[in-house]
Amino acid sequence: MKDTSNERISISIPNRMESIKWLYPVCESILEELPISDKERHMILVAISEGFTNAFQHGNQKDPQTEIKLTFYPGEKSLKILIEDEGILPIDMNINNVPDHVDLEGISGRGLLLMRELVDEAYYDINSKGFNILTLITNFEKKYKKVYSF
Amino acid sequence: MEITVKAEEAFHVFHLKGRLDLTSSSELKEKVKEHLEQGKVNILLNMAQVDFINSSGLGTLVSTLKEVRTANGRIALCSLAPYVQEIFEITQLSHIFDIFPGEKEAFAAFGQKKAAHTS
Repeated sequence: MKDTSNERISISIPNRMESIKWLYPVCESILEELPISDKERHMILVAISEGFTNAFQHGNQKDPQTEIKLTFYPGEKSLKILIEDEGILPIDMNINNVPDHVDLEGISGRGLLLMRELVDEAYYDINSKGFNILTLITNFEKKYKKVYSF
Repeated sequence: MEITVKAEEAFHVFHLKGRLDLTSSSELKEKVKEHLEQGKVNILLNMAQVDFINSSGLGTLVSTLKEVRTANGRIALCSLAPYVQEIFEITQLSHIFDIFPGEKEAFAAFGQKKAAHTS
Protein backbone atom coordinates (compact mmCIF):
# COMPACT_ATOMS: atom_id res chain seq x y z
CA MET A 1 0.00 0.00 0.00
CA LYS A 2 1.43 3.39 -0.99
CA ASP A 3 0.72 6.07 1.56
CA THR A 4 0.95 9.74 0.69
CA SER A 5 2.45 11.34 3.81
CA ASN A 6 5.96 12.73 3.64
CA GLU A 7 6.25 13.13 7.39
CA ARG A 8 9.24 11.39 8.91
CA ILE A 9 10.59 11.05 12.45
CA SER A 10 14.10 9.68 12.96
CA ILE A 11 16.01 8.83 16.09
CA SER A 12 19.39 7.24 16.65
CA ILE A 13 20.03 5.25 19.80
CA PRO A 14 23.50 4.16 20.98
CA ASN A 15 23.96 0.40 20.80
CA ARG A 16 24.17 -0.09 24.56
CA MET A 17 22.05 -2.20 26.87
CA GLU A 18 21.22 0.77 29.07
CA SER A 19 20.03 2.77 26.06
CA ILE A 20 17.19 0.36 25.40
CA LYS A 21 15.23 2.20 28.10
CA TRP A 22 14.89 5.13 25.69
CA LEU A 23 13.28 2.97 23.04
CA TYR A 24 9.92 2.52 24.75
CA PRO A 25 8.97 6.09 25.71
CA VAL A 26 10.05 7.46 22.35
CA CYS A 27 8.11 4.84 20.39
CA GLU A 28 5.09 5.09 22.68
CA SER A 29 4.87 8.84 22.22
CA ILE A 30 4.88 8.45 18.44
CA LEU A 31 2.41 5.56 18.42
CA GLU A 32 0.02 7.46 20.69
CA GLU A 33 -0.57 9.97 17.91
CA LEU A 34 -1.79 7.32 15.47
CA PRO A 35 -5.39 6.13 14.89
CA ILE A 36 -4.83 2.66 16.27
CA SER A 37 -6.16 0.74 19.23
CA ASP A 38 -4.26 0.16 22.47
CA LYS A 39 -3.82 -3.44 21.45
CA GLU A 40 -2.31 -2.56 18.05
CA ARG A 41 -0.06 0.01 19.72
CA HIS A 42 1.15 -2.64 22.12
CA MET A 43 1.75 -5.23 19.40
CA ILE A 44 3.64 -2.76 17.18
CA LEU A 45 5.82 -1.90 20.17
CA VAL A 46 6.61 -5.59 20.65
CA ALA A 47 7.54 -5.86 16.94
CA ILE A 48 9.80 -2.79 17.24
CA SER A 49 11.47 -4.22 20.33
CA GLU A 50 12.17 -7.45 18.43
CA GLY A 51 13.75 -5.55 15.55
CA PHE A 52 15.72 -3.40 17.96
CA THR A 53 16.95 -6.44 19.92
CA ASN A 54 18.10 -8.13 16.70
CA ALA A 55 19.91 -4.96 15.67
CA PHE A 56 21.57 -4.69 19.09
CA GLN A 57 22.60 -8.33 19.44
CA HIS A 58 23.02 -9.71 15.94
CA GLY A 59 23.48 -6.72 13.63
CA ASN A 60 25.69 -4.53 15.80
CA GLN A 61 26.98 -7.50 17.82
CA LYS A 62 26.56 -5.50 21.07
CA ASP A 63 29.28 -3.08 19.90
CA PRO A 64 28.80 0.13 21.96
CA GLN A 65 30.50 2.20 19.26
CA THR A 66 27.62 1.59 16.87
CA GLU A 67 24.11 3.01 16.68
CA ILE A 68 20.62 1.89 15.81
CA LYS A 69 18.54 4.26 13.73
CA LEU A 70 14.77 4.17 13.78
CA THR A 71 12.71 6.07 11.24
CA PHE A 72 8.93 6.35 11.47
CA TYR A 73 6.79 7.25 8.46
CA PRO A 74 3.28 7.83 9.83
CA GLY A 75 0.83 7.96 6.94
CA GLU A 76 -2.91 8.33 6.79
CA LYS A 77 -3.52 4.65 6.32
CA SER A 78 -0.39 3.00 7.54
CA LEU A 79 2.77 3.29 9.57
CA LYS A 80 6.13 2.30 8.16
CA ILE A 81 9.09 1.85 10.51
CA LEU A 82 12.68 1.33 9.43
CA ILE A 83 15.26 -0.05 11.87
CA GLU A 84 18.84 0.19 10.66
CA ASP A 85 22.01 -1.09 12.28
CA GLU A 86 25.65 -1.22 11.24
CA GLY A 87 26.08 -4.92 10.62
CA ILE A 88 25.01 -7.86 8.53
CA LEU A 89 22.62 -10.41 9.96
CA PRO A 90 23.22 -14.14 9.66
CA ILE A 91 21.73 -15.41 6.40
CA ASP A 92 19.22 -17.64 8.21
CA MET A 93 17.53 -14.62 9.80
CA ASN A 94 14.91 -14.39 7.10
CA ILE A 95 11.46 -13.55 8.37
CA ASN A 96 9.82 -15.32 5.44
CA ASN A 97 11.48 -18.59 6.33
CA VAL A 98 10.25 -18.70 9.91
CA PRO A 99 8.20 -21.87 10.40
CA ASP A 100 4.78 -21.58 12.00
CA HIS A 101 5.82 -23.98 14.71
CA VAL A 102 9.05 -22.99 16.42
CA ASP A 103 10.77 -25.26 18.90
CA LEU A 104 8.54 -24.72 21.92
CA GLU A 105 11.31 -25.36 24.41
CA GLY A 106 13.99 -23.44 22.53
CA ILE A 107 15.46 -20.46 24.36
CA SER A 108 15.50 -18.27 21.23
CA GLY A 109 13.90 -18.11 17.79
CA ARG A 110 10.64 -16.34 18.58
CA GLY A 111 11.57 -12.78 17.62
CA LEU A 112 11.18 -13.21 13.87
CA LEU A 113 7.93 -15.11 14.39
CA LEU A 114 6.51 -12.29 16.52
CA MET A 115 7.48 -9.64 13.98
CA ARG A 116 5.85 -11.62 11.21
CA GLU A 117 2.65 -12.08 13.19
CA LEU A 118 2.29 -8.66 14.78
CA VAL A 119 2.62 -6.36 11.78
CA ASP A 120 1.35 -6.61 8.19
CA GLU A 121 4.76 -6.63 6.55
CA ALA A 122 8.18 -7.33 8.02
CA TYR A 123 11.32 -7.90 6.01
CA TYR A 124 15.07 -7.40 6.13
CA ASP A 125 17.04 -5.80 3.35
CA ILE A 126 20.40 -4.11 2.84
CA ASN A 127 20.58 -0.30 3.00
CA SER A 128 22.71 2.00 0.83
CA LYS A 129 25.68 1.49 3.18
CA GLY A 130 25.47 -2.30 2.85
CA PHE A 131 24.04 -2.82 6.33
CA ASN A 132 20.80 -4.28 7.67
CA ILE A 133 17.56 -2.43 7.31
CA LEU A 134 14.37 -3.86 8.74
CA THR A 135 11.03 -2.61 7.43
CA LEU A 136 7.88 -2.99 9.51
CA ILE A 137 4.55 -1.88 8.07
CA THR A 138 1.21 -1.74 9.85
CA ASN A 139 -2.00 -0.88 8.04
CA PHE A 140 -4.34 0.94 10.37
CA GLU A 141 -7.45 -0.90 9.25
CA LYS A 142 -5.84 -4.29 9.18
CA LYS A 143 -7.12 -7.25 11.03
CA TYR A 144 -4.75 -9.62 12.73
CA LYS A 145 -3.68 -12.44 10.46
CA LYS A 146 -4.84 -15.00 12.95
CA VAL A 147 -7.44 -14.85 15.62
CA TYR A 148 -6.00 -15.63 19.01
CA SER A 149 -8.33 -16.40 21.82
CA PHE A 150 -7.48 -15.65 25.42
CA MET B 1 11.92 -4.85 36.61
CA GLU B 2 10.95 -5.18 40.25
CA ILE B 3 10.82 -8.64 41.73
CA THR B 4 9.48 -9.41 45.18
CA VAL B 5 9.21 -12.94 46.52
CA LYS B 6 6.83 -14.31 49.14
CA ALA B 7 6.51 -17.84 50.47
CA GLU B 8 2.89 -18.92 50.07
CA GLU B 9 1.54 -22.43 50.54
CA ALA B 10 3.61 -24.82 48.42
CA PHE B 11 5.14 -22.07 46.30
CA HIS B 12 7.54 -19.21 46.39
CA VAL B 13 5.56 -16.56 44.59
CA PHE B 14 7.57 -14.14 42.47
CA HIS B 15 5.68 -10.90 41.92
CA LEU B 16 7.10 -9.37 38.75
CA LYS B 17 6.56 -5.73 37.88
CA GLY B 18 7.51 -3.93 34.67
CA ARG B 19 8.79 -5.09 31.31
CA LEU B 20 10.22 -8.55 30.75
CA ASP B 21 12.73 -8.05 27.96
CA LEU B 22 16.43 -8.21 27.23
CA THR B 23 17.33 -5.72 29.96
CA SER B 24 15.40 -7.39 32.76
CA SER B 25 15.89 -11.06 31.93
CA SER B 26 19.15 -11.55 33.81
CA GLU B 27 17.59 -10.19 37.00
CA LEU B 28 14.87 -12.82 36.95
CA LYS B 29 17.32 -15.59 36.07
CA GLU B 30 19.54 -14.66 39.03
CA LYS B 31 16.64 -14.54 41.46
CA VAL B 32 15.36 -17.94 40.37
CA LYS B 33 18.85 -19.41 40.52
CA GLU B 34 19.26 -18.18 44.12
CA HIS B 35 16.03 -19.89 45.13
CA LEU B 36 16.83 -23.15 43.39
CA GLU B 37 20.22 -23.27 45.11
CA GLN B 38 18.43 -22.95 48.45
CA GLY B 39 16.15 -25.86 47.57
CA LYS B 40 13.12 -23.63 46.98
CA VAL B 41 12.10 -25.34 43.79
CA ASN B 42 8.35 -24.66 43.50
CA ILE B 43 7.88 -21.30 41.87
CA LEU B 44 4.82 -19.34 40.88
CA LEU B 45 5.41 -16.29 38.72
CA ASN B 46 2.66 -13.76 39.31
CA MET B 47 2.72 -11.61 36.19
CA ALA B 48 -0.19 -9.30 36.97
CA GLN B 49 2.08 -6.27 36.76
CA VAL B 50 4.11 -7.34 33.73
CA ASP B 51 2.81 -4.99 31.09
CA PHE B 52 5.17 -6.00 28.29
CA ILE B 53 6.98 -9.13 27.20
CA ASN B 54 8.98 -9.91 24.08
CA SER B 55 10.96 -12.88 22.80
CA SER B 56 13.87 -12.16 25.15
CA GLY B 57 11.52 -12.34 28.12
CA LEU B 58 9.88 -15.49 26.76
CA GLY B 59 13.31 -17.08 26.31
CA THR B 60 14.09 -16.32 29.94
CA LEU B 61 10.88 -17.97 31.07
CA VAL B 62 11.61 -21.09 29.01
CA SER B 63 15.13 -21.21 30.41
CA THR B 64 13.68 -20.87 33.92
CA LEU B 65 11.19 -23.66 33.22
CA LYS B 66 14.05 -25.98 32.26
CA GLU B 67 16.11 -25.10 35.32
CA VAL B 68 13.19 -25.70 37.65
CA ARG B 69 12.48 -29.06 36.01
CA THR B 70 16.15 -30.03 36.37
CA ALA B 71 15.85 -29.22 40.08
CA ASN B 72 12.77 -31.48 40.23
CA GLY B 73 10.59 -28.51 41.02
CA ARG B 74 7.43 -27.05 39.58
CA ILE B 75 6.81 -23.72 37.93
CA ALA B 76 3.56 -22.01 37.01
CA LEU B 77 2.47 -18.60 35.82
CA CYS B 78 -0.60 -16.65 36.86
CA SER B 79 -2.51 -13.42 36.33
CA LEU B 80 -1.22 -12.63 32.84
CA ALA B 81 -2.37 -9.32 31.36
CA PRO B 82 -4.42 -9.83 28.16
CA TYR B 83 -1.74 -8.58 25.75
CA VAL B 84 0.92 -10.66 27.47
CA GLN B 85 -1.37 -13.68 27.32
CA GLU B 86 -1.77 -13.08 23.59
CA ILE B 87 2.00 -13.17 23.05
CA PHE B 88 1.98 -16.56 24.78
CA GLU B 89 -0.75 -17.73 22.40
CA ILE B 90 1.05 -16.53 19.28
CA THR B 91 4.27 -18.27 20.27
CA GLN B 92 2.32 -21.30 21.53
CA LEU B 93 4.12 -21.15 24.86
CA SER B 94 0.75 -21.50 26.52
CA HIS B 95 1.14 -25.20 25.62
CA ILE B 96 4.22 -25.77 27.76
CA PHE B 97 3.51 -23.55 30.77
CA ASP B 98 0.89 -24.11 33.44
CA ILE B 99 -0.96 -20.80 33.35
CA PHE B 100 -3.65 -19.91 35.88
CA PRO B 101 -6.04 -16.95 36.18
CA GLY B 102 -4.79 -16.17 39.70
CA GLU B 103 -2.70 -17.40 42.62
CA LYS B 104 -5.65 -19.12 44.26
CA GLU B 105 -6.25 -21.30 41.20
CA ALA B 106 -2.56 -22.16 40.95
CA PHE B 107 -2.39 -23.18 44.62
CA ALA B 108 -5.51 -25.29 44.21
CA ALA B 109 -4.26 -27.04 41.07
CA PHE B 110 -0.85 -27.78 42.48
CA GLY B 111 -2.27 -28.82 45.81
CA GLN B 112 -4.38 -31.38 44.00
CA LYS B 113 -1.41 -32.63 41.98
CA LYS B 114 0.68 -32.90 45.14
CA ALA B 115 -2.07 -34.86 46.87
CA ALA B 116 -2.39 -37.15 43.86
CA HIS B 117 1.36 -37.78 43.88
CA THR B 118 1.47 -38.62 47.58
CA SER B 119 -1.64 -40.82 47.70
